[in-house]
Amino acid sequence: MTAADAGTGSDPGGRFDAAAFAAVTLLTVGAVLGNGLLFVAAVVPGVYLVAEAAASPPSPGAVRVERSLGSTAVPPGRPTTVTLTVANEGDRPIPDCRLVDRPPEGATVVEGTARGCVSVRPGETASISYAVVAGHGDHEFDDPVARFRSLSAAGWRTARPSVDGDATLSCRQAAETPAVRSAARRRAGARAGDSPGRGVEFHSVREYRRGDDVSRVDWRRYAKTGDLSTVDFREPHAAGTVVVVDVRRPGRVGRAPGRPTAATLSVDAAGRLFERLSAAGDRIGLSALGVAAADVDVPVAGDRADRPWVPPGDGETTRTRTTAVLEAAADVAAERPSRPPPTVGDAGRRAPARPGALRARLPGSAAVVVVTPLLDEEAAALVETLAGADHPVLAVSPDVTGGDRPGGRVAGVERRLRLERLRARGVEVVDWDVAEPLSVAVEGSA
Amino acid sequence: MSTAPAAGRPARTTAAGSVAVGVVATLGLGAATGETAVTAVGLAAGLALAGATRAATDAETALAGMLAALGGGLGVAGVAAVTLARVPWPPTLPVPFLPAAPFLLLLAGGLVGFGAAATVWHLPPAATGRAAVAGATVAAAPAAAGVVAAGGLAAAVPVAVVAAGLVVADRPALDGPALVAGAGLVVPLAVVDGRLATVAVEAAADETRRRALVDALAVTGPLGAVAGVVVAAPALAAGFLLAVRLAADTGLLGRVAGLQLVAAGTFLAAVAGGIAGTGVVVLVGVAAALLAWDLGEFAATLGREVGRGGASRRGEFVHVGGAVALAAVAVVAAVTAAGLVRTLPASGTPATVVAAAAAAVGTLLLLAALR
Amino acid sequence: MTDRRRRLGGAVGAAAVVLAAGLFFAPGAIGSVLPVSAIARSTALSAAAGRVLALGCVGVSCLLWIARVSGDEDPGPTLPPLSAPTADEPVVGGDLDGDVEATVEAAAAGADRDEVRSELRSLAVDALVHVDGCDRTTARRRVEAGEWTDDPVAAAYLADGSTESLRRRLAARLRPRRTTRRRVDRTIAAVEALLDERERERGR
Repeated sequence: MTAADAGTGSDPGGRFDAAAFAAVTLLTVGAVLGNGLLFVAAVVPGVYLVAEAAASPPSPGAVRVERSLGSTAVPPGRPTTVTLTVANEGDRPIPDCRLVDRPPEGATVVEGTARGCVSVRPGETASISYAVVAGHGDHEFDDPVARFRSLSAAGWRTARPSVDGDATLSCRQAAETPAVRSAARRRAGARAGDSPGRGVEFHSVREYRRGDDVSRVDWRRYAKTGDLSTVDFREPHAAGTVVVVDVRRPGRVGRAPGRPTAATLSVDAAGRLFERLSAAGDRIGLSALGVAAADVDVPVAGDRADRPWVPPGDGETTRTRTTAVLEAAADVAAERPSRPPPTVGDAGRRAPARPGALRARLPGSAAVVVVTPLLDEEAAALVETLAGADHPVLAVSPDVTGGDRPGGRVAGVERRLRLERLRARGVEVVDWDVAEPLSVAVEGSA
Repeated sequence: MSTAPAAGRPARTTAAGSVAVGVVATLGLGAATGETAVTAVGLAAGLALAGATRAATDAETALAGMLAALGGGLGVAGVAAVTLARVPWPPTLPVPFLPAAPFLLLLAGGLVGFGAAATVWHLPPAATGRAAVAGATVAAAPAAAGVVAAGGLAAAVPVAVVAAGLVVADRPALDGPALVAGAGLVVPLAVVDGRLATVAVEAAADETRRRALVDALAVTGPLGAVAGVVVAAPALAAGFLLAVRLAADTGLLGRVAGLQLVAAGTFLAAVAGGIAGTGVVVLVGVAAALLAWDLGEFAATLGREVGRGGASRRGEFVHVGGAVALAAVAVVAAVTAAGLVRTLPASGTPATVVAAAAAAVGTLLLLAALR
Repeated sequence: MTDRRRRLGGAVGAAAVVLAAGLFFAPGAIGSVLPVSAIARSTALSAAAGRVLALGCVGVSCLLWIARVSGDEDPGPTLPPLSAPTADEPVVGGDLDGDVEATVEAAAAGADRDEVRSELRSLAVDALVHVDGCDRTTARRRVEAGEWTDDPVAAAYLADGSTESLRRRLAARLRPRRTTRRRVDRTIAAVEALLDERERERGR
């Protein structure tokens, strides 16, 4: 392999200056006091000095580095794992290799760090791994930097080993083609005993766990399996289902810096819902709150509040439009406002949800799935309005609140109160703990 | 959630190993020298001073001042214990020459205790200045009381003038809670000072010394004398803390000051052991000091280059193994050398005297030149 | 310049070590060349004070030399720095975190400004309305009277007028930052406990 050698050196003020210091002190004190043992004790730091002179850091040429991505194409906001493997192809052990990967500018490391210190025997491999989240587009990884030290770790040699394997992460909304387990596609009403008017029922499997910490978020598992929390649709709905994704300003915050925003997670959830429901043969429509219809790449209709509106359908046009709207929503969702929105009070006035404009577009008995982080009053009010207008409503709410910060906990309490209020009014709410991935199942299709 | 970035903190496992090596070696050397209690008191004093520094960084000045006074008080107690074990009470001038080892062990314990706590709490050495100031603030009221008690009304006026001047000139720096805490100390002192003076006088070893003590008390008054002892504690603490600060400012202490102090303290304990003539243990002590330093440096560079979030467990274990092996080799080499030296004729012939001097100077110059 | 001095020091040092070795193993040979006994009788070696001074001077100057040299070593190319996560990115509830920090700093400076209390008060009122089903006025009165939680710290923090014990007020003076943070934490925890209790009751 080719390795650009970026130089050698030793740590300034390093431990072997200390050895010299100790030796001189012992010699001086021993000689001054006529203390033979202290004089002889200078042999101890002397051995350290000899060890320093004898050691040389291993050569970077014996190392092969390979990077592999959990998935090279993911939707924006979906984490993916990056594994950097170091193989020692030389005949000397490499006791200390510090590896710093350089992920793309547009990507954020959400689990672990892109660094590690490995120790590799000849013929062995060692690896470090971490998870990144990126926005829309293609993202190029830079070559990592590696620093090699001998066992005593006195001097080092730095290199930029070139990397085999994956170097590009591509983020597109349509990147994920769902594995459609084709089965008998049934329309609502095909099964006897279904209550008329309420052709759709939802329930979530996993219950909310309070106080889940950011550090517990198992993105690696999420990226690998993509399956834990389940929204279970008993049946596709006759009059079609409209997915409303909420990416208004209050949701464009993450649980911690560098974490995906609640809005990004909402778009991700909406994308999954759309894929699963349409795979099950349902007619799906889409609206995105907080997105301007003009910002969508393909021409789409708008509602009174100029938000994109894709009427329920199951054709290719619907799919194209929906994908474009979700792409636009993903872009908006990743735009973080420079100032965090207020948790209480006037949030609603700044980011109105305008349920009236949405209702004007909704077909009379369509089921509505609102994907919203419920971080402001407006979102809860919208769900209440829709439920009051006799639409079967399901709210799917990614939870980015909590953690240790007082702000996160207070936002968590406020969100909980909203959630309870909705449940008290008979709305089904899936409280999606984002520590666990959301999966959508439609019983009729599986 | 604490937003303090973990970046730059020493790697956890290795830093813990370094601190453990330092603490165990120092206590061991203290025990080998027969000064376990003094070493432990030094450790406790170091911990208290680190606590003072930590409190000072949290704007808890009163607490910082009290902890500094506690740490200084332990130091004063240690010095007093070492001295009084060898000199009859009350010590009068001239004080005979005292062995250096116990004092060095006290200081070594202080350095190791402070360094260990500073590593765990990640204290910046610059904050020690604030702790020293807090300690001085706590001492202000007892000092003023002592001066007034010793000098009567004549002294009260200048003290009042100085106090008023400080208030006018340096208002924001005056810290209410710390001053009040110091004033709180004066009250119990004023209650017990007479009784303490009686006990001190009765404990005197002989009549001459008793008379000297009584004379001294007549000058200062009992409250003045007791306040003087109380003020000595924050003063000693401030001296220690400011020395750490000075070492950091002159670049002797780097980013991981705590780990460096642990290693330096262990080294000092080893030298103390050598001076006291404890034998081969000294060689192990020196090796332990260098091992602590080795691990500390490794933890520091690892923390800087990889950080605590990175996977480094295996690399750390490999280095720890290597470092322990190197220390063991160094001990074996030094013990062998010590054995060889013992076989040499230990005589005062002119040739051996000149040879020893030449060897010492030559090795020193070579070492310096090799750097 | 430094290199020349270094080489000179090295040469003198090596010569001295060779001399020492010679004196140990062949004292006669060296003695015929050098006036060994005269050197041994010189003040720097025979008098204890002289010996201490001479050796001490050499030792201390070596230490200073090492301290000087160790500072100006070139650290060489560095690894990409560890970057702390960008702190200005908005996080959920970030504005309240800012208020808490401002209040904590105000407390450390001895000021009595509190930007969090009113927000937490309305949060507690909302939670109480939800849990007990009472109206807002009643809930507000109960919060102001400190009769909404068993936690004395939380109750005293949101209550109208300080009902804190002397011990707590003293603690607040001694440890302003920690006490302020603790009050906020305990209050949020008390509100969370209200909701948890309600959830448990309903679960039963």
